Amino acid sequence: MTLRESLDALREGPALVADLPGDEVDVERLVSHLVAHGFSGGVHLADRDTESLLWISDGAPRDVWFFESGGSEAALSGVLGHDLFHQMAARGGTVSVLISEPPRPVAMPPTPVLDPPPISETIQGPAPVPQSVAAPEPAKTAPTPVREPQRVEEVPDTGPAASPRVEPSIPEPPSHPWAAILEDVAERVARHRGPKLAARFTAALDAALAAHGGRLEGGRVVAPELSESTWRIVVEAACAPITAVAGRAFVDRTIAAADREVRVLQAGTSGRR
Amino acid sequence: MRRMRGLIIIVGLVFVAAIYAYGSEGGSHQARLTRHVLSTAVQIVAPLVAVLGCVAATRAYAPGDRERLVWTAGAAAALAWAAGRIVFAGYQWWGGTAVPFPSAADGFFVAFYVLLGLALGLEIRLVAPMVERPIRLGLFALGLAAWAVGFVRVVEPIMLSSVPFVEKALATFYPTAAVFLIPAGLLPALGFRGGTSAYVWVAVALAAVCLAIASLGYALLTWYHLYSEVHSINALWIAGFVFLAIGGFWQRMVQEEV
Repeated sequence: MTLRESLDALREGPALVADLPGDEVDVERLVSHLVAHGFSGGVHLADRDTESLLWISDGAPRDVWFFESGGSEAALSGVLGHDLFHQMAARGGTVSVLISEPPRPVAMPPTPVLDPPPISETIQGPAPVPQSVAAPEPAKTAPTPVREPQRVEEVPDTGPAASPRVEPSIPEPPSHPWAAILEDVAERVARHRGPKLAARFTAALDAALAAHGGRLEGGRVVAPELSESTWRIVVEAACAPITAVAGRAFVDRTIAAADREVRVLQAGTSGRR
Repeated sequence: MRRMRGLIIIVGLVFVAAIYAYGSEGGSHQARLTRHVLSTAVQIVAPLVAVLGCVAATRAYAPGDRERLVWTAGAAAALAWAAGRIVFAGYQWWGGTAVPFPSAADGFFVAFYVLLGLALGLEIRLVAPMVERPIRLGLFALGLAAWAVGFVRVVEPIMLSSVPFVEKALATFYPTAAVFLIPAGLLPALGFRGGTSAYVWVAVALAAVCLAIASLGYALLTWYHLYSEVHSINALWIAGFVFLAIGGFWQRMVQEEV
């Protein structure tokens, strides 16, 4: 059973809240609250193009599942997954809290090793994940109650999952000029935090791009056509060393500043043409 | 820019007050009293300004950012020092007694060093991988050498005397902690060298230098019963906290102007 099928089955089950407008919910606080109360289940976000599901069990947030409208899906664990989840939460959409025990361990297959596609070729199918793909925590026999006795829903068997479907899809176009932004971020980090941290950033960026058939060439980002969510995964992985030192707020500000500058430059260039 | 102007005015006022309090000797009874009051006030205000600086720095981070914790610990350290100075002043102004050593104020002063050490330790954990091993060892050697000089010149005579253990322990702890704060402050400066953030940590390292010299001086003067509220050594405490405040405000500024 794919993650999508598991999610669909889960969505048919009980929900603590369903389809709240995302801009009226502080998802970070909601997750903290659920974790603090020993909730077991999933926080589901959906917008036009993407869906994500953060699993919570045993008083801690666990894996995050991501789904794209094109059909690709991925499971991320750790900070990267949670950061991406919260970033998606900031985009609005709807928020639901689904009651369920996390599914039994899913033996996700290793990310398919794809030959790097030629530059400008569209990557099809699932976005390879630059972090070990971990399975959700095993279900406990006694679920932790949330205010009232919790109903334990039968979660469809998610046993050894099939390989993520690799089917042709048209990825949604990136809404940001990510290649230019990331080049600009490298310069800004060097200016602000020195060349050492900038070097860690470019090393992480190179590794993240390599996982999607791209690379860093003399400080220039060379990448095939990637979807917005794949770019976001690349950005998160590349920025992880900066986030660890300078913090999330710094990273967000730097990306925003780089975005502004790149757009101004692009507007200037197209204006002259 | 308005924030910078405010900072410059505050630092300028502290500076002028310190010059008046410690820059002259003698004078009329009234002048001496004024200097005494000014010295007490400025020694409470300077760490409070450092608290403001560190809190300003924390506000440039998101909850959960590790450097936010660094500056939070810095703010708590400076606040502990301010509390210690208030207790210290209380003995003199309301207790009407000479300040005993050790006193309740020392509890706050010890907390200050522990918290500042914690703040710098947390920052070092983040930055150490970016600093080459020889440089790290060099900094440690620098701290050790400074401590050895301080120990021989200041601490050893106290250790060899017959004063109570607590007094010996504090006389050793203050300069030791302060001296090792210097390389601890320099390490992030070296990790971020080439970037604007490095200067923030140069300011913090300068704060550590001032506090270290002041600590050694304080231990020596207390030992020989020469310490007074208007002794010029106090200017170093104030300079230390002013540098810490500058570091905090500067960090806020550079963190937001990427």
